[in-house]
Amino acid sequence: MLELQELRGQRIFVTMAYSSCHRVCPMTMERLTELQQALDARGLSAEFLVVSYDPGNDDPRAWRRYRTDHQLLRDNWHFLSGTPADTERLARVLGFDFWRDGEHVMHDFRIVALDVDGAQHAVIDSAHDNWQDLL
Amino acid sequence: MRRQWRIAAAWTLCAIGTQCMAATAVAAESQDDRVTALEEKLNRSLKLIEQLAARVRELEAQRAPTPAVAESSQQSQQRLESVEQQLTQLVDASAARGGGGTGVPLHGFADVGIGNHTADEPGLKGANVGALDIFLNPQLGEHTRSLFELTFEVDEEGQVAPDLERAQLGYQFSDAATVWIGRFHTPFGYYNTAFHHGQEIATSLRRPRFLLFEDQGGVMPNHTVGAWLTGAERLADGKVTYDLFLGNGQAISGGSIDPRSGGVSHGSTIYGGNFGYVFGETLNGLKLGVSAFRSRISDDEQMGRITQVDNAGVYFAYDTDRFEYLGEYYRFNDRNLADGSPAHRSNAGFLQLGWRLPLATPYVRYERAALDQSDNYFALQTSGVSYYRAALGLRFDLDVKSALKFEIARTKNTDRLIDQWTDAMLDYAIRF
Repeated sequence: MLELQELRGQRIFVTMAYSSCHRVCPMTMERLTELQQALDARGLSAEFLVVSYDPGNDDPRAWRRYRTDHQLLRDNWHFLSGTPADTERLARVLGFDFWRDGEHVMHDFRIVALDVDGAQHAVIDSAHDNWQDLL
Repeated sequence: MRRQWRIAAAWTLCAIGTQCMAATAVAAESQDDRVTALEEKLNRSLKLIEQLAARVRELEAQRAPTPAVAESSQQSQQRLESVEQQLTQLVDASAARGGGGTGVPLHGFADVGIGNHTADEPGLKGANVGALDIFLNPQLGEHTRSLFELTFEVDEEGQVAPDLERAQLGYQFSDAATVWIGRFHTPFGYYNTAFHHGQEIATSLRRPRFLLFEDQGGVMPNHTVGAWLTGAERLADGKVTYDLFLGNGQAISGGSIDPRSGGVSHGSTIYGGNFGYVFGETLNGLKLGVSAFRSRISDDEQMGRITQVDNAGVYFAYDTDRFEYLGEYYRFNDRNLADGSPAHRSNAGFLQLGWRLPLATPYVRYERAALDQSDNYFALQTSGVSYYRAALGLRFDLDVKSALKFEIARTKNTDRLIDQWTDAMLDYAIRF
């Protein structure tokens, strides 16, 4: 379990994804990886939070497998699943639009950067996906 | 001890009334001693206080930032309040634009196409409007579920035809059980529920022909009006999914299947189920399943002509970041209940292979239907024709919400009206 207060004072990047997504989420992970590389090059640290759109399926085992399959194993990357209600509320607060149609979760590409005070610092999405704006 | 003894002795003597003066003198001597002792004690205490004060000054000197820490804590509190305020504003703003609990988010799909034939009507060509699909699922409560899907399609005469594709209300007991009542996608196989609407979701440009919507040439009862129990149960390494449904028996009306959304007069039913297994650690992304249904389907042109349709199928879907493989096979074993003739056997199936490459997703699909023309169920359907089709396609994801697809396909009808043709089509599909 991760308490968000534990991350107070850190630069945080938040996105939402689900482990069985094969179209949008791989692109999101690619952007986050680029972002991580840029931070490393500048000697900056940050926490990456990936919150599941599909908590019913994304249990810790599913996320662990996803991390291994996609080589996303760094300690500062946190793959999280909440309750359905918490998931919807977080999505609403951070502007992630998603809906379900059968087995599919329809969702956007979106990464939100929070500053060390927890305030929204910058956003990239499908209409504006220059990840350097998050720095 | 000595002083204590003296005082005690003096008070003892006074108490008995003899030699009181002597006793007073002894007491005076004792008070002097006591003051001296107190003075000594006070001096020691003062020294101790001075030492403690010096130690405190020393510690304070070592912790010089202390005032700044206090200030930082105060600032943190202010910042937390600021963040909280911002979050509240974000929630309010989100609710105001329809994303909150105060309204129903509007989502859906749409597509347009162009080609030497349209996707569903080989007799038409040129540009065409595919469908506008409005998807509503208002959030009603913790367990109550709802889903409405209103589709606007353009028919072969160019008329816009609205259709309430789905209208279902459900109660979710848990992930393992949700009961829906209303009109839903009949849960046979995989494709009909996974890719029913929204060409933007599906890799291919169009559905397999035998799985087209009932009024567009499909030969399967894609929609059922009734009750549907669905759920999934997680196992140690994977997940079991199940569906059980019961609904109005369909009819064949005007050459196509009618789901009888308004109810039935003759009491016939469709019932069936679907059981699947989703693999976990090993073969992650693979789903295997079986499904079956039985329906009594009446003919609106001849009273009492009812066909009992028995359908059994197997399917698989193997979906990963690198490829998407799909396959389904169905076998029909139908009986004309009016004349008691032997069962009519037919079958249909498809295999689709797609590869997710960095720039595009190429795919191939082969589909085939061998439908017994002496079976009333197929003979009465305008499109109940045996055929095979081979297709080669390419999907480009323009962004996360739109895709451009090209497909070249060769189709041959193999009975009733033998014909063959080649399609070259483009489809532009979005979701919103």
